[in-house]
Amino acid sequence: MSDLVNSGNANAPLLEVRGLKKYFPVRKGLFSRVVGQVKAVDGLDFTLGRGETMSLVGESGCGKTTAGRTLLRLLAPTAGQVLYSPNPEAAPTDIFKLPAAEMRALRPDLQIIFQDPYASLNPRMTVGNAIAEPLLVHKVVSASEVEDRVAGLLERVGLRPDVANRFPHEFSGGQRQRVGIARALALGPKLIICDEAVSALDVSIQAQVINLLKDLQDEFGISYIFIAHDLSVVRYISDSVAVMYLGRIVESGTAQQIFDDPQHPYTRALLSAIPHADPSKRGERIPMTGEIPSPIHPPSGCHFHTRCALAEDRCRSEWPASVALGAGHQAACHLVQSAGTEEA
Amino acid sequence: MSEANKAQGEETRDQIEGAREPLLELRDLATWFRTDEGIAKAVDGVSYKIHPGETLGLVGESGSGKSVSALSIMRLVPSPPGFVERGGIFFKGESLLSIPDEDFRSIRGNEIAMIFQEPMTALNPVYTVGDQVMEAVILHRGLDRAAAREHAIQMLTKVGIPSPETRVDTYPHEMSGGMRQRVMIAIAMSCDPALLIADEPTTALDVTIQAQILDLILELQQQAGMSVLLITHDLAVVAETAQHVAVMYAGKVVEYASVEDLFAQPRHPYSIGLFRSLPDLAKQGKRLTAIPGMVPSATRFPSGCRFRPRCSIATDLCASSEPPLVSLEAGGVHTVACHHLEEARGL
Ligand SMILES: Nc1ncnc2c1ncn2[C@@H]1O[C@H](COP(=O)(O)OP(=O)(O)OP(=O)(O)O)[C@@H](O)[C@H]1O
Ligand code: SF4
Ligand SMILES: [Mg+2]
Repeated sequence: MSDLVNSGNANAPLLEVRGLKKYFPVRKGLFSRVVGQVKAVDGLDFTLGRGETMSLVGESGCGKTTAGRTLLRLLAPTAGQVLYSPNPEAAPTDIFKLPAAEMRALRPDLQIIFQDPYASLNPRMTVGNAIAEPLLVHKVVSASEVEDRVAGLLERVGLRPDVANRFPHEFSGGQRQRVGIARALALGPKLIICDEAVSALDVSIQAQVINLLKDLQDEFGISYIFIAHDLSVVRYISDSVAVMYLGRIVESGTAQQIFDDPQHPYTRALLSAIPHADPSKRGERIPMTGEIPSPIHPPSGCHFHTRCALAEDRCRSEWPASVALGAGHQAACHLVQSAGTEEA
Repeated sequence: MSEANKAQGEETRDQIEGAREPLLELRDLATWFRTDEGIAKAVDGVSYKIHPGETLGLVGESGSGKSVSALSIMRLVPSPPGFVERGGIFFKGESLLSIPDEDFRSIRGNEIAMIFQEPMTALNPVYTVGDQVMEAVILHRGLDRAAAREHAIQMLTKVGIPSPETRVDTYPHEMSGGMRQRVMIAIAMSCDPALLIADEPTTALDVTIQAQILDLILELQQQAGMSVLLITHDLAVVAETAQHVAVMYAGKVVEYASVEDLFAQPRHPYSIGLFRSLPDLAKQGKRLTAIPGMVPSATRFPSGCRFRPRCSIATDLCASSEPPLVSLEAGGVHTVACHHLEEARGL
């Protein structure tokens, strides 16, 4: 029944991701024989509303970046559907089924910005040319208009238009991230994946860039998938949050549900590890020993059982299905009660 | 009346703290670099003290001089281009800068140890973890290899490395980032230092592993009674671990206080801006109050107060004269370097 495809519904989400999987082969030996696979992303389901921000959180290696790149087809997917509805009146398109030419036509809609904008900027190209390039490649503006458009974009992200003639190394980290945003913005995207986009910035500069991202969202209705390890930033910026552990979503919900009423033991431990900028709130952590296990040999049953203080026998043998907890809130844990079945 | 009593109580506490002999003291330290763009005044007149058993948090933005001040203590500033222009570093009352290099070796790694943000670059990839933990005790304590190996296994156990008897023979690249940081701590702690300098020890780690490493440092600190200089750009980490905080900006300490006082009421316009920028403390949906502009380059610091171009209450005085670091109350611990403290209260 959940196979019903939305059509002609103004409330339809911009993106609906179903069963997203990305496995990488594990090779060994002289002839690089494939000896197994890493299930980096192992069945993600989530939706992203128009003009909303959804965050993917979890420890490094849990599959956040792979998920982001796979759903934009920057990596070949192993399985799943990504239903994209730029126009709420029309039926959605499955991005994974598009032929290459149509996918190319869709590229301007779907942008990504990275932690280190330096790595994604050509050091020998002025930032003006870097921003102009996608405009010219996709023939959005004519060569005579391009200069004005670049100047407008630079101003929009808070840089002086005359910096167009400068090279990336002449900019600070925060300025380079602004250039990266201007370039992502050039083609009028509907979705931007921000992969640790503000993580490397100092707090005072980070605040400037976060404000900029929010302003652009208000102005252009852009949706964001925000990948970040700083949970205080995530709480501030997100409408909804999905918590990942070893390639799977263990809990998802609105930012308020996740931060104020976390249900999965992993979410609770993760949140309790965040230090607070308040010396009177020291300590009170939920202990979580050990580190995230290797995704090549994930633990049986619930992947989290090796670090979970509450694990029972069942957790070691059976993968817990996702349980609905309330509007849009779900968690995959044997010990979580679904809404309505809670004992009085 | 109770207010007055309280103030008096605080004064005595401050006076006791002031009277206690610090373990480490930087006095007007200036460490500069010769660069193509001119002299980079990375650290330019920095003073701070660390008392026995306490943790001092050193915070500030990238390039503010936090690491260079620590590297100056450890004599690890690359020279050239770096040099100490003026000032003093005193450890247990002794001037470190006047000790010859050979003698300093018995202090570095022994009485003062340091851990870094990226343990992979600080660890030697071609030696086993055990060899590297053993090195310091063989050098400083004269243990033979067998005894040193025993000691290394003990240290690895202490820092929470699982199966230390086998891990002792593995190489750094076989470990995760969190495990490597534990090894760095084992090395640093192996000679029971009086002072541990931790430069962004958890910045490269996940928040869960960060919590484990900070807990470990605090636990070892309590066991050994050592002092910690914790360098971080994360105010929340300081709130959870330190007793005192020094806020650095552009090569200077602009504010120094107990964590309670600083977090209750930062007084320098830069510190105030820093707290306002934290998404942590901001209301969801409300705009963050960012500090406009950016950190000036160390070769081109503005005249007068270095925060002036980004400060909303700056006056002509701020351009012409550099504000000294002064106590809010006579003899008190809380010090701030700003000409307009009254106006800053209204920010
Ligand atoms: N070897 C060097 N040569 C020239 N300049 C240097 C050198 N090392 C540091 N500097 C300069 O000294 C200043 C202070 O650097 P420092 O590393 O102490 O900053 P920091 O506060 O530790 O910053 P971060 O938060 O990025 O670690 C910077 O302007 C830096 O460019
Ligand atoms: S001295 Fe002047 S410029 Fe500096 S922080 Fe105070 S008011 Fe601002
Ligand atoms: Mg540093």
